[in-house]
Amino acid sequence: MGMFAALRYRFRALFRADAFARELKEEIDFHLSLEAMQTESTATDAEVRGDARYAARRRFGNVTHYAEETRAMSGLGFFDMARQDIRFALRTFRHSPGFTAVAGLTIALGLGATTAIFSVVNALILQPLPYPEADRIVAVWMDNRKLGVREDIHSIPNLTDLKSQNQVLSHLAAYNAVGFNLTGTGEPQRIIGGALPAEAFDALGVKPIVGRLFTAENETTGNDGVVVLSYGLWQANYASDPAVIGKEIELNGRKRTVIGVMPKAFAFPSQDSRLWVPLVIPDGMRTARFAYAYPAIGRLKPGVSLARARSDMSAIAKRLEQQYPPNHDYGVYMVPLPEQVVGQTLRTTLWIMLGAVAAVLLIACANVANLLLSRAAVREREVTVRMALGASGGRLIRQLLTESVLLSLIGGTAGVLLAVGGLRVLRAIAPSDLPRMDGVGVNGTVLLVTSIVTLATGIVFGLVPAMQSSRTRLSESLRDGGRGGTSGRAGQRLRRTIVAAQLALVVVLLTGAGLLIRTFVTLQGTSLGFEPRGILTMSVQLPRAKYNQRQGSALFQSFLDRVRAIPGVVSASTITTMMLSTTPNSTGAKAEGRAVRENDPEVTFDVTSPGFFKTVGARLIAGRDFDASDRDSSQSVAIINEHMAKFYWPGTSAIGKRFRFGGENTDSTQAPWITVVGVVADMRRTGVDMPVRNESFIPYVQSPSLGNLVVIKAARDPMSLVSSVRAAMRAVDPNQPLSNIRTMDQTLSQLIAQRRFSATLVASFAVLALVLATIGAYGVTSYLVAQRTKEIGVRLALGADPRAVTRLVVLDGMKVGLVGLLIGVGGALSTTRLASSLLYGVSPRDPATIIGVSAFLLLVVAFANYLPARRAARVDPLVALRQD
Amino acid sequence: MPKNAKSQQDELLKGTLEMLILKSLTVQPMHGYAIVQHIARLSNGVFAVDHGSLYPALARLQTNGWVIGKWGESPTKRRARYYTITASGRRRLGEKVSGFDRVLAAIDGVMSGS
Repeated sequence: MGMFAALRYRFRALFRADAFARELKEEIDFHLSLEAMQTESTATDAEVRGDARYAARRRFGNVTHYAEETRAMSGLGFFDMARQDIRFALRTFRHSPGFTAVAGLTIALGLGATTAIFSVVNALILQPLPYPEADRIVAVWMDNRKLGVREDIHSIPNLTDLKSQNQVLSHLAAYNAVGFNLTGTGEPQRIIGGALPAEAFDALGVKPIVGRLFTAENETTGNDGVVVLSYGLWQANYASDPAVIGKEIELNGRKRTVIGVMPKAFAFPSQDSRLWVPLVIPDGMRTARFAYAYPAIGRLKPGVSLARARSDMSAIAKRLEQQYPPNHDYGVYMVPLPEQVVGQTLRTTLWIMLGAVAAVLLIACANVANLLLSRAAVREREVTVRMALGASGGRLIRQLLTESVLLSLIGGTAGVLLAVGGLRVLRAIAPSDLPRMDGVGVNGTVLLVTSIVTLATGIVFGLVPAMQSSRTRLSESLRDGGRGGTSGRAGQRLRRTIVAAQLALVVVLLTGAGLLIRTFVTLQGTSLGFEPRGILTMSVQLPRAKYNQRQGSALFQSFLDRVRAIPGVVSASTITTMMLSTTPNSTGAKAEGRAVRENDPEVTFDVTSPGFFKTVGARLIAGRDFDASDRDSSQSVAIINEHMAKFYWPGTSAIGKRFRFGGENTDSTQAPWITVVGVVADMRRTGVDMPVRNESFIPYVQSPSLGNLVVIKAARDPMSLVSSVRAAMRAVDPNQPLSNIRTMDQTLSQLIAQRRFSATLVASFAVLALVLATIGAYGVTSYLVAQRTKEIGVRLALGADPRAVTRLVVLDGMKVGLVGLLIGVGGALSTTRLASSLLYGVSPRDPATIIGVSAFLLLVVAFANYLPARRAARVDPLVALRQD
Repeated sequence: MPKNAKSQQDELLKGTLEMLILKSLTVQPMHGYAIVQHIARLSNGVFAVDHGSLYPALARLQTNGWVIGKWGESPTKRRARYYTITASGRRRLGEKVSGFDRVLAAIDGVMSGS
């Protein structure tokens, strides 16, 4: 009871200072008036009676003095003392502006980098997705063990079984990402959106801000003519007018009525989804267990853990595997939506960056600690005097800590400004496909964390020197010949330890940066098997409502003819799957005369028109390209990649051999035998670091498609062709948009953009760390040399060779460097493993990198030691001996 | 009174004033003025100090949780702050008194021995 009341009293005095002062005044007034009344009632003298108030005041004493005293007694004395410390610290800073600037800038660099990276981590990882209880939303995938793809899509019958049999999900719904041609509002636009059933919205738990969402009735053909807009589209195309509800818009040549608008933050299935239509599942899909077509989203029932949900769903999948042969090797894989949106690789990257900046911050702290130590040595006399005058060790520590915390606050403030600028640079160099990047900024959370880190920083780099100082003993000072405490042997050891620790951290950082850079260089040097330079790509998706297959073929034919006629176009062709971004469709295959084996990998299939391989610069190894002799009615033909040729027909030519899609017992009327007419060199088409798969290509005439990627080889800058290409499309269909127009170089650099990003950042942090640590090593050596001036002077006076003196000092410094290096290499060997998922073509313990980093660091340390050593060797013995 | 004597008395007060306040509050909860009156009455006016010095002492007693101050109504219908001694305040008083007794006994011994 007393404890609690005491706390409340202190709290009130501290945080409700106004009320506290007012109440004290009221209390004193009350006291004075009672005293005055008392005097009045007892006094007989009229004059005294008149002066009763004055008498009361006199008896009370100095009101202001006692009010202040009361304030001090109520626990505020501490703060008054702090104010004194702060004033003292500020005065010290004014007296040594150079020191303050260097220390402040060092801290600013460390804290600035940390703040910038933390604000990215905060936005991408720590901030919850804009859905209620977002961590309970799960992406539900088919775990395709046959293909080693953990995030594969479902067939509707499987999904229906998973949904009806599970006890762990409150919602489970299929969805699809869909592209739309938006027409009737000026230039035709290609828009990415989603086909979502009502239940998918329920799983996400998001309501529209205007209008309503779909109902189950909308999910049947004929009732699905509705659309929900994103906030962005609503703002851009309809000026945020609520009257948009009920309006019609034309998508893929079909009119749909707007029924709702989603909140700004809603972005599903992807970051760039701009509108949503109801998901209508075709009747055929409802029964075809082998038709894998839909990703799915679900929500965990309240109280159900992810682990339990995973095991329950896996058990169902296992039953389905036994029940239905096509399900063999297909499990279920569930990922919490936040992890799905910001994937594991990116998370790892960001945590590694945060680790890297934390190391930079530590190095900066160590530098400032060393600076403070040096200064403490200079201030030793002051400290000694103050202690002799009776200042307690605790009081001194507090005063020195006030200084360092104040210093870190100055650095922290500058650091936040640096971070704001740094984030601008970061956003400019960040790969454009980084999710949630627009949420990145220095916000309240970031500032709060930065303030805490700043305070901690001040305490970390201030505490050691402060404690060292306060331990100063007169006797020790005397024994060390006037240089006690911080400049004594203990102080030297402390400094060297700090430098060694700094160098160790630098080794770890440099090694990490080296590995990432080597990965990046390896990737850039990897042969793609095709030539991305000078290639323009774009996708064209013809709406089914407007085109049948024959009309579609005709349109693509005349479009390609017009494009080929554009001056500057070398060749043009089509393929169904985007190069370098989308995984092509694949299926099982059987080679004639070879039994299908259990673990045969699937074969990808793409539809291309003649001239594709020439256009992308892929080399035909054997056979021929497709040409006019391939017709709808002629025998089915294919070009396969070298990988597939070697897999099915090792040691012989694959030309003339036959294969078909589907398994062992597939009906040959459904999947006819296909004759191989050409073999093309392997292309790394899904990404530089992706394995090569068995690939096949089918001529366009034998399998026409309404959606194609148009690939154009240009003789000059490909982007300069864009307007002519647009004109070519306008000439054949003015309502048909071209989307994703970009050069293949852009796509390629996008692919390795994340790696370049992380390599660049970690490398810049490593360089920053190196610079800071070098300055630290240099500073400490200079200081230690200065301390040894007398000794060096004696050596020189006794005839020592100046070169020997230089060597002595450098070797002394190198010892520290070696210790740091050894610890650092140990640290690098045990930590770079964490980054192994980010590396490609280089081992996390790559000896070349580690040896290179070590040699480089030793060189830098030698240099940092050489300069002060040379200065020492040039010391005039007379001057040196006269010191002290 | 001479300045020097006053500062000496201040020193003495730091310990004893607290003890006197605690002692007064064992009778009943009181406001500041009443405490002053109570102490003056008990010491027959010998213990005449600045009334103001009571308030820093009360603040210290409150931060230690030995005394609780609460606003209440005085007989004259004015708002007044009433102080109550807590259980730990009583313990503190006990310690103080026995310490004081020891000092008194020591002084007594010295004086009678001379």
